[in-house]
Amino acid sequence: MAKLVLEHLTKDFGNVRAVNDVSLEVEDGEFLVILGPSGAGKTTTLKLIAGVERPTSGMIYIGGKPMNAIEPHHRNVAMAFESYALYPHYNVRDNLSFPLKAPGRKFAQQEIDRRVEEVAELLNIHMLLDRLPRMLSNGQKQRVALGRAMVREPDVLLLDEPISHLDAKLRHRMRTEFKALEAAIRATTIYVTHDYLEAMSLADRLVVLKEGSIQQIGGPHELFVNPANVFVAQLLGHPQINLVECTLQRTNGVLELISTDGAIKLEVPERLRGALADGKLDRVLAGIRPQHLGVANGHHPASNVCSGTVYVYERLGTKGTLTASVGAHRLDVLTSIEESFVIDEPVSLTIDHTQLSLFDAQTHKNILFN
Amino acid sequence: METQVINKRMGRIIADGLMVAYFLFALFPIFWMVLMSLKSTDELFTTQFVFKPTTENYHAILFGDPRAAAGVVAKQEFPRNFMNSVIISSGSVLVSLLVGVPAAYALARYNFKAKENLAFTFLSFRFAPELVVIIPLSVIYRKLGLYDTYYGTIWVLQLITLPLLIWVLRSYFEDISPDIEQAAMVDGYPWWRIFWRILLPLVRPGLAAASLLAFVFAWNTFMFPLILGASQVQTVTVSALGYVSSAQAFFNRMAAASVIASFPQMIVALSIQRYLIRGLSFGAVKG
Repeated sequence: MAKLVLEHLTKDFGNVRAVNDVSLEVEDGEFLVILGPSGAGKTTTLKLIAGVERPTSGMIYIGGKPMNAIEPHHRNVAMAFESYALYPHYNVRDNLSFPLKAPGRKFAQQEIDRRVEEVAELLNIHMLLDRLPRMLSNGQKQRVALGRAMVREPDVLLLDEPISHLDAKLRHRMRTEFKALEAAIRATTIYVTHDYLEAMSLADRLVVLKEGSIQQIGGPHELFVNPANVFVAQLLGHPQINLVECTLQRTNGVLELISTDGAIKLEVPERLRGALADGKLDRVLAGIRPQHLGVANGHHPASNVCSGTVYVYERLGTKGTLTASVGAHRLDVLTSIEESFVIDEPVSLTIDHTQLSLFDAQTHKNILFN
Repeated sequence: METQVINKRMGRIIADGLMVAYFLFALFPIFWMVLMSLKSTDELFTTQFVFKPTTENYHAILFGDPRAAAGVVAKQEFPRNFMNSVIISSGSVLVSLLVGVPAAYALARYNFKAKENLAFTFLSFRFAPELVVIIPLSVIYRKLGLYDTYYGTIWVLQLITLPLLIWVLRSYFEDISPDIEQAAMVDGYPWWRIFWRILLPLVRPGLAAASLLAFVFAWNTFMFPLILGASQVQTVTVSALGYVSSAQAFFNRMAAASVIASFPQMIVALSIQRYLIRGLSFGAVKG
C-alpha cells in the first residue's frame, strides 16, 4: 500500500529510447492500466519500477521515498512477468512460497502454507501444487505467475499482460474474475496490456503509451470519448474509429466539414466550434465511431448523410458490422443483428455529428487539446 | 503391412549389429590392455591367445617387484603418482570451476567490449598444440619457481580444463531467461542467493558433464606434467613411461598401470552418466 510517483522517467537501450520522459502518479490502492501496442515501453516501465532495470534519468518514488538507489529485493514490489518466469526446478507450491521465504521476510511456516493455499484457491490452481512448471499449460503457468506476485502483500503490484496467453473464453472469464479480484488486491496495481477491452474493463485510470511516451491519461470512458490524438482514438474501440480527411468551409455562416473526395458533408457540432473559431485550421481528420453511424432506412434527413455501396457485411453474434464504400473511404458501421445487406447494394448512412472528434490533419492531435 | 513390419525389424537388427561392431571396435584396445596386464613377461610377446593369467604385474606396480630387475623403476612410485594425478586433476577442475562459472555467467549475461574476442581467446587455448608453448613455459616456470610444483601443474592445466567449462556453461546460462533472475530479484532475493538457489541448480547437468570431461582431459594429459614436472608431481601418465626403458620394456606393467589409472575416470563417468548425455546434448542445442 503506497503511492507511486514517476518523474520524467527515461530509459535508453543503446540508441533506442524505450521509455521517454514518463511522469505519472498512481494513488495508493489505485488500479492503473497501461495500454499500448507491443514495443511501446510498457514492460520496460514495469521493470524500472521493480528495479531490475536502471533508469537512464528520472526518479521513482514509492510511498514518498526515492527508489532509484534501492535494490529490487528491498523495494517490496511484486511483479508477474509476461513470460511467467517460473522457477523450472521448483514445483508450483515452492514457486508460490519462494517470495515468502526470502531473507528478511520472517514468515512462520504455518503462515506460508496458509497464504499459498489461499492464493492457490483464489486462482484455482490448488490441484496443481505438486506439479513442476513444465507439466502445466500456458494458462496454468500464467496463473501461477500471478499467484506468486499476489501471495505476499507488496506495496506495488506489477502485472505484465497477466492474461494475454489464455484462450479467448478463459480470458473473458479471467477478466471478470480480475474485476472481482481488484477488491482482494489491496496493493497499488499497475496492469499492462495491449488489449483495449481488458484496459477499458479493469482500469480505474488508463495510460496510453506509444513509443515510450505517454499519449493520454484518464478514465477509460473519458479516453474513449475524448481521445487526445488519432493514435489513442484508433487504439480504443473495435471496429476502429473511422477517419475522414476533411476541409473546413464556411457557408452561410455555418461551419461545415467536406471530405476531400467531396462524398461526405458534416456540420461541425456546437461543442467543437470554439476550437475552430480562430480559423487557423483548414484541414482536419474527422473521427467517427462505428456506433455513431447508422443506416438511413428510407428517411433522409437534410444533412449529415452520405451515400455509398455495401462493401462487406459481417454478422458477429450480437452485432453486425457493415463496411461501406463512400467516395474514396471505407466506413465501418455497427448495425443491429437483424439487418442484412447485399454486396454492392447502394446504402445511405446517417452520421451522428454531435459525437465527432476532430484531429489536426498535420499533428494528429485532437483540436480540443491544442 | 506384413513386409513393413519385417522391414522395420530388419532395420533394427542391422542398426543393432552396427552398434555391436562399433562397440567391439572401440573396446578392443581396452580389452587388449587388460589382457596384456595379466600376462607374465615371458608370455608377453607370444602370439598364442592361451596364456596363464597372473596378477604379478599389479603386485609389482603397487607393492614392489619381488624379483627387482636392475634398471627399471626401483622404488615403487605408482601409488604416489596415482595420488599426484588425483590431486592435480581434481585441483585443476576445482580451480576451473571457481574461475569458469563466473566467467561463463559474465559471457552469457553481460555485454562488454571485446566480449566475443575474449570468449574466442579462451577457446583458442585448445587450438594450439601443447608443444608450441611448452619450451617458453618451461623456461618461465623454472624462473618463477613453479617447476615441479602442484600449483604450477594445476595452473598450466587450466589451458585444458578452463575453456571447456566456460564454453559448455556459457550456453547453459544463455538458456536461462533473464526474466527468471529478475523475478527472483523482485521476489526479494539478493544476487548471490539467486545464483545459489536458482542458477546453479539449473546449470547442474552442464556443470556435471563439463567437470567430468575436464577431469578426464586433465587426467590424460601427458606433455605438461612431463616437461613442467619432475619426481614431485609425476602423474600416472608420465610414470607409465617409466616401465619402458632402453634396458627392458615392461609393457605388461605399463598395461597394468594404465588399467588402474583408468578406474577413477570410469567411476566418475558411470556415476554421472545420465548428466553426461543430457548435459552435453542439452545446453549446446537451443530449443
